[in-house]
Amino acid sequence: MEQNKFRCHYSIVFENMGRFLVICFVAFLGQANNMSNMVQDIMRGDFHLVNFLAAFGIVFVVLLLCFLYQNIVWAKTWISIEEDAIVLERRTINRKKNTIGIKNISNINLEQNIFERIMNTYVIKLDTNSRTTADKTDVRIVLGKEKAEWFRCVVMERMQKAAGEKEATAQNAEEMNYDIVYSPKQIIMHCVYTASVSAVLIILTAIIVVIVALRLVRTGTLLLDGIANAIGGLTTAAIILYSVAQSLIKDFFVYYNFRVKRVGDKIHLEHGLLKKRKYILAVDKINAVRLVSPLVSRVCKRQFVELICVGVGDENKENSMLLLAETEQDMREKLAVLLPEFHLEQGEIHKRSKASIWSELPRKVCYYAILIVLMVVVGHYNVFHIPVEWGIYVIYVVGVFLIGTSVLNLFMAFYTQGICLLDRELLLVNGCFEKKITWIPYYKIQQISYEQGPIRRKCKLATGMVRILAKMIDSAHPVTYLEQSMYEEIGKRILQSRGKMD
Amino acid sequence: MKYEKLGKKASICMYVKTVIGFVITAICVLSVYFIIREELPDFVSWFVYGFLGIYLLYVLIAPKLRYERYRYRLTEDGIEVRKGLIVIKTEIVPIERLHKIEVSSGPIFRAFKLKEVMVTTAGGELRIAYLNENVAEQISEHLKKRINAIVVEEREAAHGAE
Repeated sequence: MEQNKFRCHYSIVFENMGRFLVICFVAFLGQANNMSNMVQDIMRGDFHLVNFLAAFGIVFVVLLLCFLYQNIVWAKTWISIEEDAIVLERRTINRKKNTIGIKNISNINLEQNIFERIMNTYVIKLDTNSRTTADKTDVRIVLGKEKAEWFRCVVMERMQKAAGEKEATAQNAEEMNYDIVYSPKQIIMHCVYTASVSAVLIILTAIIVVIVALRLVRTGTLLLDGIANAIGGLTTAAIILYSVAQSLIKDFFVYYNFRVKRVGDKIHLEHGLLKKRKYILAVDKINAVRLVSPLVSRVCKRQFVELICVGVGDENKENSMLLLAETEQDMREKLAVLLPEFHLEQGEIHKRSKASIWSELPRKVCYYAILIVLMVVVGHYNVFHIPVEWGIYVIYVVGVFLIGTSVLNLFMAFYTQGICLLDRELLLVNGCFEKKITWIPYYKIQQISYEQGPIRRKCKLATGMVRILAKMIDSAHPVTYLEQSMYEEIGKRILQSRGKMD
Repeated sequence: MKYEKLGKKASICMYVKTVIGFVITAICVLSVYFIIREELPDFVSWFVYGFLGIYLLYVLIAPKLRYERYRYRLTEDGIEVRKGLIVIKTEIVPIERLHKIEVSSGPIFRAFKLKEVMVTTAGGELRIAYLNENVAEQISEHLKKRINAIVVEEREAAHGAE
């Protein structure tokens, strides 16, 4: 179709300029006070046109220079697809040549925000299976829609060739019939099941406060002048409420039109309303599968499935979701289609050892003692100079709440935390209110470590950590208090495991 | 396979490293303390001397304990290191997952003819420190040979499957 050496789409200049303009806008907001002074000067007739033009001219020159720089970068950056590598060459002042082995690419993602939809372009993100770049995208290029689809097909074909596959699975995403498609109703239900309890409580509290305030205003107990004086605090509260409300409905926009399909040894994922995302993940690069049940989901017996691998979810606002909130049976049926390699059985869970209480208790007692002393000192001596008497009781309530949650966490951990040594995978169960079950194939575990303090040594217990290749936050998986012999057994299985999934 | 202990020189090296750390900390703390002593309440001096006293006790006890507890083991499939002072940490790394082997030595290690072997996997790294130079080289060689053997085994298995 096209030659193998090409540039990014020209719209990348405006996208990069857009980022610069956002920075300028934020700086402008920071100078809002000066601007209001200037407006007042103009009103008084005390206005110096020369100063104004000079300031405007400086901003204009900076913008022009930035535009020129972006043009040079665009013109001098070339992308080429070679037999077994993708080469990105930038011949600006700082010359850079980035060669990415096609064999090491773990996934190809396409993204399209509203601006890119208008321009009919896609952002292509390539990620390699490397630890050093696990927390960022390795390559980000912008291409026109047709060229982006062509680029993706070519890279996928080369990836299959490099992996020694015969079956051609490179397919245009537009023509694809997905195995699993979620309706808007299912997506709304997913938002409900995964809603944060604290966010719901904040919204409910805000609604109650507004209703009470309106009643007080109507009865004349609360004066409107008082509200006007507290406008700064109210604005802050409104911003917090907005971000909380956004967190509740954000998932609907992110997961709108969520579709998944298994093609050969790749998983194709597509979702997004305002920002469209298309992911292609190589199954052998998936390092673990995680099943998550937040509190509401647990009550409603639902769970969603996340993938742990390099490339998806390694940037802010990227998601590694494979299945939205489902019943267990539906989830298993869908996983059998999408990931038959992962056996995802749940054998007998070996719960956290009861004897661990003796190891945990001294630490917890110290924590409680410090909290109680702080609470008494702050409350008794009124350290924060709280003017009303009931304010001090609030401090006591907060202290009791913190201790109560900690005690509850301590005992809940005995019911929720656990581990199961399956034939091919290690199953970890974590979380107190939000339950997380993680399946990690033994051959994907990069290292295991366990620790024993004096009490743990006496009780022959240990706590540990298994490490896999993933972005920083998903790389270390804590393992609960277990007998030392269990850790030795896990170590043995990791050392004996090799090769690929069946 | 049995756990290996570090050589005698490692114990002295541990003492030297801890003493150097103590001397640098003591100089910094005492310099700051004597500069601003006039502005500080009296009880701060108790804190400063108490801290240095506890640190000195640590210097006397910690290296010996660390040395006694330091163990490592190399098997056909993995590397295991056990170390710590109060909390003992055991780390296990499969040789098959190794990406990089690095043998290094700083000035203190060089003075005692010691080296450190650091192995890196996709999930992190593991260090076997305070090794005699020849032992470090032997370990590095053993790991290289094992990695090559594993690659050959995998290649043969793949050809067999075809």
